Amino acid sequence: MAGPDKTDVLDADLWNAFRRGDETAFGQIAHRFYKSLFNYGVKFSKDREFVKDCLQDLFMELWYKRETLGDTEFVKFYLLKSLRRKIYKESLKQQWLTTGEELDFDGDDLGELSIEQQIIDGETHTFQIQQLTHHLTTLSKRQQEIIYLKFYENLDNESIAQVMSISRPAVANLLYRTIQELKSRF
Amino acid sequence: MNPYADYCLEDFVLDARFQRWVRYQEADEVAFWHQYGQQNPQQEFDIQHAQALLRSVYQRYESRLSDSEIHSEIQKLISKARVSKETPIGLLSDQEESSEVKVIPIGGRLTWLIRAAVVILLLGVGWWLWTIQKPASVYEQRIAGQTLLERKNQTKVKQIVRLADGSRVILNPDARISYPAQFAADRRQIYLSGTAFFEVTKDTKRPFVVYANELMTKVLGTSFLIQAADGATKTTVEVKEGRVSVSETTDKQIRQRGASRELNGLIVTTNQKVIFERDQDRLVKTLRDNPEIVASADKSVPFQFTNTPVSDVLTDLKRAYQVDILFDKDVLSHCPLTATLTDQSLYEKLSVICEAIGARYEILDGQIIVDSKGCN
Repeated sequence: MAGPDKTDVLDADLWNAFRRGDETAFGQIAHRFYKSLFNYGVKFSKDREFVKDCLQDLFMELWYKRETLGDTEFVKFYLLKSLRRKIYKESLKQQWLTTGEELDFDGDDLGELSIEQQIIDGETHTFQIQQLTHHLTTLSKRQQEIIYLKFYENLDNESIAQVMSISRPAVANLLYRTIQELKSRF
Repeated sequence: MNPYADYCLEDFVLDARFQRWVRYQEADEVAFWHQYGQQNPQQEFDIQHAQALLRSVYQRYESRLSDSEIHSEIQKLISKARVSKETPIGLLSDQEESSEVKVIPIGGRLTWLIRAAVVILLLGVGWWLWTIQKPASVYEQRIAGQTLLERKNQTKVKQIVRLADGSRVILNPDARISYPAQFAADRRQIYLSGTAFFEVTKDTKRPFVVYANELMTKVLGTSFLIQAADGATKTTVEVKEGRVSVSETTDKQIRQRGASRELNGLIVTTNQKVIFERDQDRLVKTLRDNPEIVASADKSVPFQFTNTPVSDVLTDLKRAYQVDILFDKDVLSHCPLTATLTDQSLYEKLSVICEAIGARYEILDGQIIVDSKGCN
């Protein structure tokens, strides 16, 4: 049962069609990952149009490289990592960041609780969730990013380590500590 | 067995199935976890809190992006992709630069004529590039421009080629090899298309290197079989005896290796086999379909056992076939076996043994793993 979320796994036919240069397949693949990547991108930059531009470039790079790409299971991880790098590079270019500075993962732009979510949650949990949601903002940037990549993007520790450029034991450690911290808030 | 029996909050939040339930609320998952909660009230606290924790994460990090926004971005990508296909890759500038290039209007119809002409010209160039590239196999690309001798087996039977260093190559029908008239001082390099068996004379100073499709097989002295038909989706290397190192030679791999010239190939030993699948772009190690007893091993082992501990039987097999067999020695030393296993293949022998003691075996990464609960 364990393993990547099924929405993250592309079937081989789609992937092969894309590698042969089928634009429709390319569109489908981009569609599959778009929201998730956008979501990740806006954590680093509040400028939505900027993030969209980065994504256009990123997907076009994927398109040009289609013939040299390998396994499908790494696509999402590869895209997340490239997006992070791209935003970083562009931010330097735009001088939002100076060299040596790191990208900040920032989840402050809170989504409202959607109606569906409220219904799903039921009244009893809602207060608790609001509390926890608030508590997430008090975590360090790295902790937030790890939580995001682990639960929201469903990456394994190895991939998280590579996306964030830290070691795998560090990921396991930080993840464990973060869950403990959140747990203590109940 | 309940796989979640020992789960606490930390385990639930990290469990993929649990996450799917909280996130997507699929009907069958909802039913499953509802029932689970009722049957395991002692875990209610952990389940509820794990659920709340995940939900807060999903909620917090969701950003608003409408379907129509996504749709228009995807349409942009598709049309850009379509345009790029009409232009050969080599002539297309880097994406970052091209976004800054503005089309300067020269005036009405003329611009369109020029554009149309350019598109037609580019299509022509693209078609030309495509036709000249298409037929060249990996083998042909590799030998192009080199002065090499080529031997091709045009008969219907296997053919033996003797090389200058004393090594022998047995070519299957239609297979061909190219090699220099005189091997270099530091390596013996040879190119293969098709299926061939190699018996390489030992020369530790000059490794013997075979290029076949996307694989490079490097040896010091040994015998092995390569199956590498042009355009085949699978390329395999089987080792009859000895050790070889197999690495991919795709562009990507070479680039990844970067500056370090060191080749960290996959080591393939006696009776093992590697399969390279072109579609998947990866190397898988397993055992040969029919492992053979190694010539240099003690042939006198009769494989007749009377009340012999299975651990000893497996050790004999290991030595004869020179493959790794992993098992729990303590457990299997208490399992006696009486059998004659002289004429069976390795896999038949293993089946007989496993059948007798209620064990099972599997082949993983070129090794045999015998799994047994012991015998009483």
